[in-house]
Amino acid sequence: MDVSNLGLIDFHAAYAIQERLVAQVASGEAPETLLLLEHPPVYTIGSGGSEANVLDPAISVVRTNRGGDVTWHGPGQLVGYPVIDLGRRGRDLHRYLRFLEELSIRVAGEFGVAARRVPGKTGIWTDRGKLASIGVGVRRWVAMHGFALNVAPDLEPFARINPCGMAGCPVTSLAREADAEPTVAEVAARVECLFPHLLNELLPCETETEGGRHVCCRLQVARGKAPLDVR
Amino acid sequence: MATEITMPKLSDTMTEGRLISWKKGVGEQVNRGDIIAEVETDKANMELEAFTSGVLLETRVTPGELVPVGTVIGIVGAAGEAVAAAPVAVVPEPAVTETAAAAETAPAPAPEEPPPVHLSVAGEEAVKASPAVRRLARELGIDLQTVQGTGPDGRVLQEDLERLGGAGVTVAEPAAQPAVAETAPVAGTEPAAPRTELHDALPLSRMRSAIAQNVSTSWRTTPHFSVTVEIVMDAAAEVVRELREGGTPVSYNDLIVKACAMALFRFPQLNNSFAGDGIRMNADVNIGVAVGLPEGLLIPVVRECQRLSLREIAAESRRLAERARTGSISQQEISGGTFTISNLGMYGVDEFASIILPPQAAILAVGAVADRPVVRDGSVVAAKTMRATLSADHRIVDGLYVAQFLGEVKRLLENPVLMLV
Repeated sequence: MDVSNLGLIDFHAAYAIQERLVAQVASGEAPETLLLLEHPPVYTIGSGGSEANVLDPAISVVRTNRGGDVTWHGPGQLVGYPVIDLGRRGRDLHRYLRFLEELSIRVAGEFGVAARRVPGKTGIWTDRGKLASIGVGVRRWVAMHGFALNVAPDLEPFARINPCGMAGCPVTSLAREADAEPTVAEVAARVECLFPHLLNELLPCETETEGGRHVCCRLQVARGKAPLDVR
Repeated sequence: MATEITMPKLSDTMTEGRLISWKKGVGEQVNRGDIIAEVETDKANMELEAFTSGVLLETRVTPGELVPVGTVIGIVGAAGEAVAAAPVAVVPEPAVTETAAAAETAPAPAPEEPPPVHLSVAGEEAVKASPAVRRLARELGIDLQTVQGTGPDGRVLQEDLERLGGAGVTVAEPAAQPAVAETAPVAGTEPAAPRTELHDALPLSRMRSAIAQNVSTSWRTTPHFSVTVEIVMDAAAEVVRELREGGTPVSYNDLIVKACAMALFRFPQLNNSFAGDGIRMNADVNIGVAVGLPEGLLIPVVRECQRLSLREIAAESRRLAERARTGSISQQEISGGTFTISNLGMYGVDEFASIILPPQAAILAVGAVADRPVVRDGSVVAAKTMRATLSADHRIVDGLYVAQFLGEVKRLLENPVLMLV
């Protein structure tokens, strides 16, 4: 799979890249690709989200085809858009969400931050609040959108919304939780390194043959290891 | 032939999904491969593709609605084709309009609503099909055993599924119609056509449906056991009376919440959750307090009870109960509980046992505080007592631990000053 670091990029521009990639991955023209980036400040909301969770009427919000409610993206936050063919990776949306959580938890752990899942509240959390948000869109079993991990962003913009539709939901960042203040580039480097391995470990890629299934990925790590916490 | 669009199963753990939007309007042409709707499960949205071409004849679920996997959400067929009557299912607010006229002219016999199909593993194995076809069948809600395969050795091919398109083929046998005639005496003289009463199953409200799902899961998967203690509440009654007279409205239940919070701190296993292959440790003691409502039950959660004084617990508990009764409670306020208390004392109940709310480890069922005979210094005297029954998950704790926990709750409630310092 490919990893592409887009740096600071406008939400709509990144969306156009995702759409193109989704079509190419679905048709087999492009390999699965992880886009890593930061957005200039923008509020976005999932297609099923409620505008009532935007507390400040002055805010304009971009509605987009992902799950979840309203959130904020901006500098200091690492955004990951994995364009992944779930059609070949077990076709299980919940399992994919748990994988994104596991990835974020492990990356946070590498910066000395103990984050965890909270059952029923997708994303990852510390005692002080939400550290990473997750929202996924799937078209022809190819996933787009993904996760947003707060590295060291200004957290004030979250006060103007009910993050993820939860009133008073506290939001935190690696910078607040860790002893040192990591940069987005440092965190992106860890994600880039960890992502392909963890993906193949937790959502192994398979092909179908007359004889049944066989594993096609070179990066395949022992199957059945590290059962995913699927509720 | 009309094809049913069903809520797909997009994960092994998905039991219901929310329709986000229709991408096609009723009457609009649909081509195979078109995106017809968008559905959501957890934090993932899926664009639903049409597997057959035709016209969207009917939508049975409106945007925002949460329905079980397998529920028919819409119908695609030939333009002008009559649609089988929408049946009463577990779907909230089933669409029942514009179906009456269908019966006379319906060219296709109307199969009864197939129930959401869960394929039996054994049966599935007996049918020859590739994993991709099996998955497609699962998504379409088709029972492979009912499909005539056209491949080698009767192997089911993708084309076979597409030809069927999920319409009606899931009906292994005509749904046995419950005998409704007994309750509907026939007055007419002519032998009337068999009456099909559609009112024999009332649709569940969303709340009822959520409760049904939770308790069924719990009862099926959690090995419950229950332990009861009787607690003398004379001192607690005194504290409640004094605090009330002092202008602090505190109830017995607030004292019980406080006592449980303190006891859970000493017996943390009962505050943990069973999580498959391990036990999840919960740092905070978040106690849910069941609030009975005419339409069901809500369990608002008093968060971080270990940090709250009795007074704060009382205030928060009152605020949440009020919000539950007025319907203004948020999802956040009813989630994240680590322990639950259900109190039927105000209805004169002596004792009862509750069903654990997954993934919690225990629930305390509290009966009425009443004058009962107790033996003190060899004589029978009247005292105010209350019986509390803890239902616990035997995977997490054993009887001894529960007995010790209840002993601590009893000690605190019988010496309530311990909760005021």
